[in-house]
Amino acid sequence: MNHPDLNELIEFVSMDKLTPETLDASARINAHLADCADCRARVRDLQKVYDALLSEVGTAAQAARLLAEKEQHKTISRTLES
Amino acid sequence: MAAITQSEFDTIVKELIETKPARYDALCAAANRLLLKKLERKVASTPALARCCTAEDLLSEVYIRLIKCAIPNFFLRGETLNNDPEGFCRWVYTVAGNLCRDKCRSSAARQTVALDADPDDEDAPYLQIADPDAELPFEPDDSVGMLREAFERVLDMDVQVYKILTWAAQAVIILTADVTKIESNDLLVRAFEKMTLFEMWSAVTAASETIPWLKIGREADLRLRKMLETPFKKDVRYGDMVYADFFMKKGAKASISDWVNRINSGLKEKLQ
Repeated sequence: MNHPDLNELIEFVSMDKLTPETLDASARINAHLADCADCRARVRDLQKVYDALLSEVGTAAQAARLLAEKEQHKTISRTLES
Repeated sequence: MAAITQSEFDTIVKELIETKPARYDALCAAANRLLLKKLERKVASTPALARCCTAEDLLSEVYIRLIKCAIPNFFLRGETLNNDPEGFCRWVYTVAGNLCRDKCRSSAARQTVALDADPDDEDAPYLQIADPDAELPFEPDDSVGMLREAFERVLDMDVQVYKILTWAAQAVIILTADVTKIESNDLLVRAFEKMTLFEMWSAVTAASETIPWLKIGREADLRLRKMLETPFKKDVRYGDMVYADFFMKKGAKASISDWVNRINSGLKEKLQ
């Protein structure tokens, strides 16, 4: 199964406009989510963090950037621990 | 009562989950049907919202939230498909309600204009300020029974007769003239100021015959007429009322406000 990568998932949860591009991208993600419980769980987690960040910073773009940073830090921490 | 059929629900599922890539036409059409009118009413009756967006803007944002969340948070929240059309409607209402609440919060935070009246002033029943944190009562529920109960409860209390009359008259005006609460204040005064309280109550009960949920029961009617029976109250005209003449119990205020807020948030459509 071709799981979406982190950037694609962040793009999905930070979607804030209805354009042909965002609709296409989200439609492909949703098609995958329909079949993959792991990615659904991942999306739920990212959504929670994104929503919290958005209420702090106010714009989707800033919240998405912060979310990406947070996730990168997590990956780095995990790598350092292992 | 706004709802979706099993067949509509199945179409949404088919387009969103079975078709690859996903399609959102049925999902958005259903959201539009469930929400647009309610959002229009909500915007019309909530200054904090009207300041920042139209009902269409809000609906577009609801679409986005649904697109992001419908699969992970509703249809496939668990391992198997959540085949629950009614639950879906309730969930859509919740999403819309949360959006309105979030918008009100950010709008209220930016507001710097002073308001005309102190919202805690019990003697200013017309000047209720929309509470940005108030739950949006979009969820379908037993509104008819509940509202009738609230009205009966209000009549049960030792409250300002004036306020009962005001709310009942305001309800009638809002529902029959299809105006917002703010517009109804003017109409209220114009329609009733020359009438005595007794005449006003008679007019309200007559008008309420056309509004199923407000139909005033015989007992309630008799009770209120009794309250109006002192010579003083009977001859006083609505326009001449002096607030200080009556004693108002704190507990009743919440019921009346709650009742009027529910009228404002668009239950009319559902109940007729």
